[in-house]
Amino acid sequence: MSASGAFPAAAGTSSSKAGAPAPAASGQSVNKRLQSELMSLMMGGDAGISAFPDGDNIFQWTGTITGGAGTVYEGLTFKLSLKFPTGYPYEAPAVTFNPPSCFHPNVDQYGNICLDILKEKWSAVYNVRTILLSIQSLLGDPNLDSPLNGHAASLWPNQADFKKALLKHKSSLPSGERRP
Amino acid sequence: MSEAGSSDGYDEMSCSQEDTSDPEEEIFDSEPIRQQTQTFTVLDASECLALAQKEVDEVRELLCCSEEVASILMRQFRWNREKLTEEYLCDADKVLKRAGIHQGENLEIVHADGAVAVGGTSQPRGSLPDVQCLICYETSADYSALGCGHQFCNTCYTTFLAHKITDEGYNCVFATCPKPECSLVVSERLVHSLALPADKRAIFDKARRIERSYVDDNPNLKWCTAAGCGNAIRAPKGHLGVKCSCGQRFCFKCNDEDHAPCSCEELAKWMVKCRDDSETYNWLMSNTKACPKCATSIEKNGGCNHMTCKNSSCKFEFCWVCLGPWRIHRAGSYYSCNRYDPEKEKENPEAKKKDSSRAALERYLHYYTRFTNHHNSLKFEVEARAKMEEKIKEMEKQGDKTWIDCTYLKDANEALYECRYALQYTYVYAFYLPQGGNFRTHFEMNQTELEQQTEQLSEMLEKDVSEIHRAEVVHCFTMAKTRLTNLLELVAVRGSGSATDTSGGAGSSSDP
Repeated sequence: MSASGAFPAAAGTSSSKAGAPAPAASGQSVNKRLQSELMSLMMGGDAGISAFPDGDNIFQWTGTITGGAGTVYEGLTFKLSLKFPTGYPYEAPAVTFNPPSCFHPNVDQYGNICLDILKEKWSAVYNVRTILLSIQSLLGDPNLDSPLNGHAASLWPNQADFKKALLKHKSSLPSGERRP
Repeated sequence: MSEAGSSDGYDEMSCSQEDTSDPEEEIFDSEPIRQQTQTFTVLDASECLALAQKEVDEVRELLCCSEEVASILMRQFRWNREKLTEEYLCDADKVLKRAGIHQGENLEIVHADGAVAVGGTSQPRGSLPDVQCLICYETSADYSALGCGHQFCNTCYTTFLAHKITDEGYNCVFATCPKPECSLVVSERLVHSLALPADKRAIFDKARRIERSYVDDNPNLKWCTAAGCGNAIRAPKGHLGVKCSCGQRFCFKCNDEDHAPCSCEELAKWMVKCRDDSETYNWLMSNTKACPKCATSIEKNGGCNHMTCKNSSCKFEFCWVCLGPWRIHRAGSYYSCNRYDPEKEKENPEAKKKDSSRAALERYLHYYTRFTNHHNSLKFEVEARAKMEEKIKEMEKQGDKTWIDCTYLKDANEALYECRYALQYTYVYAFYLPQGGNFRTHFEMNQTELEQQTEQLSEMLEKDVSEIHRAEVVHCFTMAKTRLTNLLELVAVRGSGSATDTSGGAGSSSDP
């Protein structure tokens, strides 16, 4: 490829993630930030959300959210996996439902979530708490225009049918962890 | 990266300097071969800047805003001045907000020269109250903010920008305040006040140069694809081959090498085909034969010449050597494998019953071998250029001729290169040309003429100095050039009826 010229196509995404800019000790600052997020999450006491690192690895957390009151998800809890890149918080963490037990128009069969703040709308100001709260509110307020699960999206208007499908889906999965 | 400049909606974009120079005239000298089809111009970096600056100045006057605001707006509207002015006059606030331009009270905090400017007024460094950064959650007095007043510590701001520049390249000019929902575009002042690595800052500065986005966003302009060349080329939409003054030749539409007369799509298809098929095809050609009955490709994987077609509906038994039925090879039968029978060649069932896939394969190989042949010859022509210099010197030594007298050899070599270059792609073009029809006959006739002329020229130039005659060479390469022009015109006429109209050049193809 010879596309260069006076203004060579400057690095697009993904080009040099490994050798990311990282002035100063970035690993340490990510660590610090995640520690303080953990602190405030534990102190904050938000209803229906919680998160904690998996073992010693501060870059990998497990979150839990409970469906909001008045929604079809009320009383149901879901587990999420949060993986933080070394570029965090300048890069969004990878968040998925794990096990993929969530039947929802914006969640696919692998647990991937379609949520703008986890993609192009990500901001370094967001944190684990805002992510979990956003996903919690997404449960009761899906974006039906861009469904990842078309079946769920088509059932959504009929909440009674949706609830049936939701419960069936959840019970079809073994209660234990299905995926590592 | 944005490829083919097919983005509609910019057609009406006015390039006010369009008519200041006469492109025809400039091109005539630099590009003698395709003068009829050429309508492009080469602009150097300062000309690009001047064009962009002119647009910005006009917008600045029209909207009564600062130059910085005018540049940001033009960049945001991708140099579509009509759209910008229309929307601006309709709702200026909305346009400014969307472009990330600050309005209202200036809450900017920028560190510079040992002091800190808050809303434009300088105060001593360290005089700011401690604030908790929203990114790292640390408390510090060393922070910055854009006009919106959203404060982030300088370390985080710097890392944030470094990430933006790495991830988004030149789009980093559109980076906004890290605070969600705040659309304020980061200012040059802020970026320069932070301790960014030099390479990152260089990308940011380059990205901000108005001529960069002016050229990038203008479908009629493109940077030369040669590394380190700062020129841009202006050509009408849909134009294909261009040549920069630095010598780089490329296709204006797809940025790949100049591939006239075949189209970008054909070239892309061809390249994929060559990559996918050539090896398989070559292997099939050299290692298999078609079953004489059903034409399935058969590989001989043992020493015996007695072959049985594995095609379950065929199961024909034949001889690998003569492709005749095996039964006549059995002992006692009339064995004729070792005899050459011209009559048999004619009625060879292989020729008649050729399966379409094998025919397609052979057809492809026909074009492929010719394409690669010219492609490889090109390399020699490049070497020949260097040798030509020596030949010219030798000629000078022989007396009676001056260097100027011998430059026709260089022209001849250049013409030879051009012809070979185009010839390789004529085979791609022909491969995708529908079979039959008058046009094909016409095209192939022109192709033959060009090829013959090119070979003649090639041979002539390889001769010894003493055997080269000026009149002969000049005649030969002029003919070659004419034939190339004819061929390209023929293709252009077929392609898009209007393609040749824009050239305004000399008439249609005429045989010399």
